[in-house]
Amino acid sequence: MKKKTGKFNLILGCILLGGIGLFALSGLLFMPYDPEGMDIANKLAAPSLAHPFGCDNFGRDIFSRVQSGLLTTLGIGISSVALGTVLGTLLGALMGYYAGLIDEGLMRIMDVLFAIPSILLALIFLSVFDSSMGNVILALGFSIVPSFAKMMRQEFRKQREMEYVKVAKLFGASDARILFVHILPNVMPTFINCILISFNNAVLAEAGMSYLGIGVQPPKASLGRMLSEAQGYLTSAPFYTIFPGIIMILMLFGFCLLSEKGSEKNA
Amino acid sequence: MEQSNVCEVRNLSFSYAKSGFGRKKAGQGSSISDISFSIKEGEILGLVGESGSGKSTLAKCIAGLLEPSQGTIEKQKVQMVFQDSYSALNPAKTVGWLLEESLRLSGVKDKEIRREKIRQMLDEVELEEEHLDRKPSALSGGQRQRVMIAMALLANPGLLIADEPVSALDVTVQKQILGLLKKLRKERKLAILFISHDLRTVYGLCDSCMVMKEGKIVEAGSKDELYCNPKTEYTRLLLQSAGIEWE
Amino acid sequence: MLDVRNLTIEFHDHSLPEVAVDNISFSVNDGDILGIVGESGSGKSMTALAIAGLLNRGDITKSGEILLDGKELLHMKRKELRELQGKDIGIVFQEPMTSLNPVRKIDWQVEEALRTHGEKDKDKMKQLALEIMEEVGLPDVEILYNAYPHELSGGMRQRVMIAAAMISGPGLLIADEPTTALDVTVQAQIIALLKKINAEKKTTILFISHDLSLVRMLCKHVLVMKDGNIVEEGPVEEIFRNPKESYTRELIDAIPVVERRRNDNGAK
Repeated sequence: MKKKTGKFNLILGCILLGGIGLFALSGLLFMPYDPEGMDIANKLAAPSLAHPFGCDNFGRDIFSRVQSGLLTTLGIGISSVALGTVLGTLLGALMGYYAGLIDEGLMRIMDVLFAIPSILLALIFLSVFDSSMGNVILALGFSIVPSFAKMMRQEFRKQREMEYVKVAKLFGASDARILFVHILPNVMPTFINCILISFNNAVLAEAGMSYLGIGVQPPKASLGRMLSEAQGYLTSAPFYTIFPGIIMILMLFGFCLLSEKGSEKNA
Repeated sequence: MEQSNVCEVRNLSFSYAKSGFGRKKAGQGSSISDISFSIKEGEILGLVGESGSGKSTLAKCIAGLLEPSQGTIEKQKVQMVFQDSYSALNPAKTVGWLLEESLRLSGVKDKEIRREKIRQMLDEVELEEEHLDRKPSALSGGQRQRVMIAMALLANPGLLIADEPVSALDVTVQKQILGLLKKLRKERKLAILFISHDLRTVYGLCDSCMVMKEGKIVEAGSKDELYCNPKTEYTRLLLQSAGIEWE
Repeated sequence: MLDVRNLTIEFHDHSLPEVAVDNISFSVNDGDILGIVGESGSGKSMTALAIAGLLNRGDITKSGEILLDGKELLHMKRKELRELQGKDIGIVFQEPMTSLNPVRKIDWQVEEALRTHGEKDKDKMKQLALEIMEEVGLPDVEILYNAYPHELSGGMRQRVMIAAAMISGPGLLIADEPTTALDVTVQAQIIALLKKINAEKKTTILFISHDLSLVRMLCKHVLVMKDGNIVEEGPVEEIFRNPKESYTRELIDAIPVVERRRNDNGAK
């Protein structure tokens, strides 16, 4: 019974993300209009055959903007998560495996970072530096590191006590090899879960930042940016909010389903 | 022919230090003090003691997993077989990968040579080729212990330390593994340090035997000496507890 | 006293039902010690759990009868079963580390059987607990009474388990590999303790082990189980002298040889 729901979640999650992925890909290959091209005549035009998702307050085609916004959001999400994953895993592995002073020192730093909400951290970072796309990625990536490192640290600490690690040591395996060839496959369920959850958080954080006006700068589209721009027209042009919103919700939901599956496997 | 020592331990001591920030780590072993002995080529030396006697600490010192605080160890290459084959075999890897890893880390670069060596080793430890594709969790306890032994032997050690290798196994499987160790000693002239808490397990296997208590060796001698004419009260107690009596 | 008839236990957690115990029957007389010997997967522990009434799971089907003093246990309702558990049946498990609740003090654990059967008088419980703890050979009972399980050695924990199982004076004590996780010297002490309990309290003991030599120290009668079946049964010495089944012979042969040397010497 339990197994079946798990499988259902996995399949549904894959379908959702597959659909979103295809939609994003379609944006690379074909975009009906220039996402940044204004057309005042079509200002806040309702969805029609020519503009399936309608047009925004500058008459830009929402369908094209959703396509390009999704690409931006995915791009920011993937690169920031990649950055956070690499750093977080590295730190977590070092802290968990070596313990002692390295662990104590790094852990206190992580605790401090952990105490500040990651979005606040990103906010500070972006107000000090300018909010170019690269900086947004850096800010989000670093904000992922503490929680990622903490989770991985725990897993590595658990695995460190396993005797197979001693066996590998006896065979003369280097520490790096023990960490990433011997131990890492054993923490895969948590690892993948961490990535999925971080990705969700990154997408949400990006939306939040764009909403606050830092993050992706206009006229560039991102899903979060579009939602913040649409808030003034919630009643007059609900489609402006609905389409980017739906895409974002479906994507987050898809990741949730997958990570749920991962944690079940873990348990 | 004079047989050379594969391992010589002199005045070895080790004590667990308290870790940084004054915390004592959980699961620390017992300390050992002033231990000296040697193992010859092709010899099986039994090491018997109860939990907390420091026998595993001694094993880890010899294997190089712990740095002794005093004393010297002169040794050839040492490999170890652990009691808990479940945690000692990486659960994420297949048996084939584990065996290959042992060779890779011993510097055997050629894939074909590795394959060939593994095939021979499977024969030697009485495993089948079909086991190579399985994960350790799909094997029985006895099979996992054989994989452990194969991994250790592929690294070509002069001394094999077997830390309670049969304690977790069923009695009939215990007998098979002990038989395998005996065969390996005979065919490879392998020296084995066999650790157990039970004098009975050691009896059929070893040539000589040491009894440890509270970090010290309380009695050592040839098998017949120790079993038929124990000198210390403690050895006598161990023998009695194991149901071995003598008139 | 204990009469097991046609007991069959099947697992249903995989697609194919798995027979853990296959139609076995045996009985134990009042005050006897019966040994059940078998390797992992032989169904010996399942049999013990069934007798103790601990096999009420949805994915297991059981059939047959287990009669304890004429009462049928196997299909008894959980409520009635609870009346018996801890009072008429005591059980000791292999792992003294996990079978004691790590966050409760020893006093609570030893007195639990009394408490679940309606005892409220704290002083009386304490007195009984201290008495039984002394009886099972625990030192400094007044101090231990307020200790936590992790402060005790494995052997002491196992004695606490036995004290907890024996406090309400059950007629049947089931000991499921109680010595396997212990050092040999402690094993011998626990065996001696079980012998003493049997002699002094006339408690019937079901001793489950994979080690025939331990069974030989403690029991007069033994069942040898393999793959859910009883392959041989009879007096222990008889089975050692003249095993009828090849499997029993295999088990005896697997006992390290020092044991047998004693016999050789004895015969000479």
